Amino acid sequence: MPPSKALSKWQGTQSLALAEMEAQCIASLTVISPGGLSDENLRCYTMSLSAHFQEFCRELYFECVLAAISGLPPDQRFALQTQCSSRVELEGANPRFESIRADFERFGFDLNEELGTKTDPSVARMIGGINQLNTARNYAAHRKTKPPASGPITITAIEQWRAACDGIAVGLDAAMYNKMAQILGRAPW
Amino acid sequence: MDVVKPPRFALGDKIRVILHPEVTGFIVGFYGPIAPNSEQAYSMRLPRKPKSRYTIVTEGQIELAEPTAAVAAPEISGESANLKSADCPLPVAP
Repeated sequence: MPPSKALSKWQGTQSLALAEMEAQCIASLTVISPGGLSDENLRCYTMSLSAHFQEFCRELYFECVLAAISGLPPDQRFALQTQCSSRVELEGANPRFESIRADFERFGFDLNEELGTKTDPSVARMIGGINQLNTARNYAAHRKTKPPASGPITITAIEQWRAACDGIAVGLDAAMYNKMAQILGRAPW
Repeated sequence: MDVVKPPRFALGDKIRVILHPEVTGFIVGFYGPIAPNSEQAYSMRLPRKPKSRYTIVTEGQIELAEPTAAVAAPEISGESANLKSADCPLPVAP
């Protein structure tokens, strides 16, 4: 099954941007950096990862919306687009799993079932990783003094969160491909 | 493979929906070439009171509502052209 444009971008340019950010973090951890620069870099990397994942999820959602309405007569599309753009969680809220569910389940299915959250422990771990990432993202963005319950932000923790994002991105892409194919009766992309 | 064309519209462009010309708004964001056939998609702000609304639109659905070329400031001639700031003192509080 071909990847969506959103997934291609996540695995391409967005992955490269995150790799550069990671290299900068590792470099600042291996040299003596002035006044807590390595901590600043880790906070930036956490926020950047969350932001890129949010961008991926939002673009995949809208890619699905545009694919879904592509079969409608042109004069009916705008009204549906406006409906589907209203109160999109991923436009404003962090990409927590509940926000992702709220938007993608507008297509009329249970995302937990599609991803196999209850049957596959690795999916549940990935969802846990995404939610930890967003807690850490808030800790970094608001310069909170108390570290998140999952522990301080470290490069190892960010790598685990990134792997969780990668896993959910692939799973979400596959789930949406199948659902959209079911709705449209043809390959969506 | 679809050919990706660069976006034709820029941030801040005033646009209208071709099939619904009464709907006008502004480009406020880019989603990239995520529409079928790699068509560019944008975020459009629909000015509404009390709160604006936002929607996704594709390049083929919209056109410029107004030319965006910078308009030169009208040339001032006559007496007002020679006014200096000293000629316009700040109002004095009573």
